[in-house]
Amino acid sequence: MVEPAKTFGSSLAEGLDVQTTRMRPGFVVRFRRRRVALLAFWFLMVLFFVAVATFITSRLGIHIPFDPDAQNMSQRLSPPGWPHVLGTDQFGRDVFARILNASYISMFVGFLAVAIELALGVLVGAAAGYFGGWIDNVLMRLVDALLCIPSFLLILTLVAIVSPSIWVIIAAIGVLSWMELARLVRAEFLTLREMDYVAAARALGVPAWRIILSHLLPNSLAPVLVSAVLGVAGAILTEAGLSFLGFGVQPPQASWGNIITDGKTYLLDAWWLIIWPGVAILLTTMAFYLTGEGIREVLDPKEGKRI
Amino acid sequence: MITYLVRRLAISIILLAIVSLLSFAIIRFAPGSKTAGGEEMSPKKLAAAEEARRAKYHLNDPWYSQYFLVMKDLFSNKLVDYNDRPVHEQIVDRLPWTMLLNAVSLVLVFGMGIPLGVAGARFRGGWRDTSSAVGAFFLLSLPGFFVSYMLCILLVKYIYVPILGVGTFGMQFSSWWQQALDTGWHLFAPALVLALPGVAVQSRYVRASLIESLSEDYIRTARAKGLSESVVYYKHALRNSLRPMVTFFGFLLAGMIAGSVIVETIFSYPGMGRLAYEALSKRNLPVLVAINFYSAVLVVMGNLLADMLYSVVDPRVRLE
Repeated sequence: MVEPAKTFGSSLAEGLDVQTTRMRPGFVVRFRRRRVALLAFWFLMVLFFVAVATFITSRLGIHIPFDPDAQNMSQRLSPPGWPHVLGTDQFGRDVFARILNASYISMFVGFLAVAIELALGVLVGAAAGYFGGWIDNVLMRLVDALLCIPSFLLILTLVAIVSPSIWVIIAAIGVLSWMELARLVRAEFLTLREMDYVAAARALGVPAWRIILSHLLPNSLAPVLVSAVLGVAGAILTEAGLSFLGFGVQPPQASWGNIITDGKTYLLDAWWLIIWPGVAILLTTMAFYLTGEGIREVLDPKEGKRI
Repeated sequence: MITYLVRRLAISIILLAIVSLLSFAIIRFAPGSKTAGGEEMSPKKLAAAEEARRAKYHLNDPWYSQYFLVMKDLFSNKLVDYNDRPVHEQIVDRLPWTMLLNAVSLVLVFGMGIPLGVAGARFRGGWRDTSSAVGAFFLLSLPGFFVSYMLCILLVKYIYVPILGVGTFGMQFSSWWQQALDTGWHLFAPALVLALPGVAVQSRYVRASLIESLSEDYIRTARAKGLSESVVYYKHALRNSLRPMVTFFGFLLAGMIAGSVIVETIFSYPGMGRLAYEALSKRNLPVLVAINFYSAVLVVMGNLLADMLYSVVDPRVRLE
């Protein structure tokens, strides 16, 4: 048996080394057969490495290949070439360095926002699904009400009022997008709580929180994991959209969205200011979607080989 | 049927009351300034002017009375923004444009999404299915603003499709059908950008529901009659996909305003999304409260309409 933790990076290993009925030992083997999903997964691994490396080196003051904030007016708006591989912007800043520098911002927003989403969604969904009754009723009506608010509009409003910064974006995305996850967890719990082993645990006098933590949660991890992976893609796209509208990460800190905003003035003359950050967003979100879809199909016994 | 409708409407009204309270509270309790700048420039008079504005727009009242004031003004058609312009007038100006844009984009979504989904189901497991799936995720991952600018470069440089606004300057003196053609021409780019993620979602839905229906007896019968594969797929199997199409229609109605913020801002399109963006830039909170409220109305209406349409497209569904 291959240990899933060995092949999956540390971030996913937490969820995967738990043995469940749905995650049969062949998970990694079956995931590997999906070439597109596997490619997407390795792309993400490389991206994590680049993001973490850029974060650490930029904090240490080492800039590879250039300082993302260093201006050079004699080199402004130079097309892709050498030494500026992806060209320079209107201040002569290196576009490649800025895109690298923005990569950890996107990862940061994506993962932290999903962490908040997970915490809230699992908490609410678990409480509603396990206890049922009036708790379920109240929580689910709250979820219904929150789902009626178009989230992008409200996130935008919230971020614009509170003054845009990366923490506000993370909080706004996380706090306003956990509802689907809560529904998912609740649905899983509703079926799982009727299982014999739960009845047995209850008969033995195991407290509710321990039944939830050690019996129900591990068994509903699979759909939650998929939803979380897809959620990261959604959060990265939302952040890019907010930054693009000027309500996101504020300059001079580069973000994939605000590089495009800055570059749009030079749309017809300097295409490289738009294309490269756009491609970065596109590839990253697509890799998350494809990985998530790959995991979902591997875990879903009904589906045949797809991607 | 009637009782169902009455009950659903009652639930919707309660839901909307909760939603409006929630969205108002989120806007009201978020830290940050709640008033727009105003025109007073002299630093000596600034504080007094700010105080006068706060008093004028009831910003010093407790939050619940603010909420009731806003709701009362909203329903009695008296809500004004911080520039004293009636909010409803602005919305009435903008809403038809957003509806037009979304209607065109809906046509594009069904026109492209259905063939893609059918191709995926028909050749499932093959390269066409894989590329249709990867293509769907590609479209889903495309940020709207990025594809807008790509389209702008392409259209402006090579195809000469207009990309700003909804009418060519000077066209207002032409006949109505020339103006209509001109507007349609202007709608092309924003509607296409708006449709792309929808195409992705729709194609996945259609594919999944087609695959589900392919093992049904009526499909075997259709094949046994010697019908061509296209007829089997498009005429017999696709009936089963009407439900996800209705679901999607509900989603589209629900996300109409929020979905068009970015696209309308880029293409200078005079719709609700751009109204929201302008209000955000100027911190014009009454407009934002109103837009958030009407968006929620659209969501509730979209859900209700989708549920009612289910029983139309699928007679097995009974509304109770």
